[in-house]
Amino acid sequence: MSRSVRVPMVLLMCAALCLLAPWPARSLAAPSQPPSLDQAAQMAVQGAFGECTPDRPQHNSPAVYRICRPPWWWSNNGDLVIWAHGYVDPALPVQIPEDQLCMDNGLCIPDMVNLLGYNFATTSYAVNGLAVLPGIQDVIELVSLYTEEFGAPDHVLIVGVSEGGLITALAVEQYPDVFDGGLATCGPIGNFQKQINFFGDFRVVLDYFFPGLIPGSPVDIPPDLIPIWDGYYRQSVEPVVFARAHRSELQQLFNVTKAAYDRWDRLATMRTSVEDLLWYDVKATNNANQVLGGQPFDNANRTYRGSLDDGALNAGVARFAADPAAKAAVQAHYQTTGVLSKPLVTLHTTLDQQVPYWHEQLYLAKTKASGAWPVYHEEYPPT
Amino acid sequence: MFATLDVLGAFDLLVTKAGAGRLDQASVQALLRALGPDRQVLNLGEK
Repeated sequence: MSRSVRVPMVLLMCAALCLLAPWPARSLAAPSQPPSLDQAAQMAVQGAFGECTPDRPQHNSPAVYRICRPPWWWSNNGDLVIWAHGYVDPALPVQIPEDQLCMDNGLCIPDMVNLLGYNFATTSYAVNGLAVLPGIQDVIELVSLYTEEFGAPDHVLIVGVSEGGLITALAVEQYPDVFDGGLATCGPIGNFQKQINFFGDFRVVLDYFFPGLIPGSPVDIPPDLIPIWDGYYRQSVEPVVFARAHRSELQQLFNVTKAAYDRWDRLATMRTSVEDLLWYDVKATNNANQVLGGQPFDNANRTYRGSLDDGALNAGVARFAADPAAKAAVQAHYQTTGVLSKPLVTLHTTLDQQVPYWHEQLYLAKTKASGAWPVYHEEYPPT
Repeated sequence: MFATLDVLGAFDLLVTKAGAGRLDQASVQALLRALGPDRQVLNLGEK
């Protein structure tokens, strides 16, 4: 779900200012003549295209927000695109996750949106970690903040990725008076309880095949493990899981959990999946338990299949029952309904290793049942 | 990762369905030039 660790914002902004093209987008100086498409594109790559406000605190939330608008000499269609970012490590300070905004060549989503003639706004959300509920309130307030400063946009569109994809779907379902439509990419929009169970299943099945490798309980992570996890994983977990002698266990782990990998690039993609899924187990579990009022993972009655000895697996795998309060919180607040009165377009990578593609199929079933598909819900590419 | 044209296509579909017109073709051309030959738009944690 797009975990966030790098924060190069200050350096990026400094570099952008130093590399300003002859048409300084962030000043009021008028260019002698409108830049060409190539020049505008170059300015965007240098981070010098859109005119952005400094990050400021929201009024009703500890979140900070940023608004970026096309320069005055570029087209502005009057519409607003809200960007809903993905999951951020709960241990990090609350700020807009720059690593989720920019590509390797320096081009960032605000400039891309501004190049298309749209106004852009984003928020850090009030908290990191599981931030779906505050995130929805923060993006709603963001629309108000934009309107106070720049006037009401003609249309408000929300685009979100991963956790932000769920925020997008829930916002469009629940607040059609605020949002004219949304694009949810790689979001856990089909069934959030199943998403929690997917993370938990991966951990308990890995523990079955590699007992004692990861300290503590899968549903109650030792606090001293969390800050050292990345190094611990590299030194103590990855070498064991990917040892040549353990190839059978590794394949069984993937067969049982249905975690994504590319069979044409098997080991490399398995490495990505194992690292990412364990990252969420270790970094996100305690935070989710706190936010949801209990631990939500439930495999008490699950029958696991796909190993060389499913009888032994099902007899030996660790079992957990979800706390009723956590399960109820998920059901009440984190599940989409598929009921739409404004359009929602969804897009999902088929081999998403963090938020599986089956969310698309589950959400499609919901919108078909509600009658929202195909008028309000459409998958891209269209089927 | 998503290909640029997929994301642009999905966004164009959204604005169309939302009754917000279509993407301006000159702006799309400028964006494609900014993206360069790789044209990768969203790196979703190496997805």
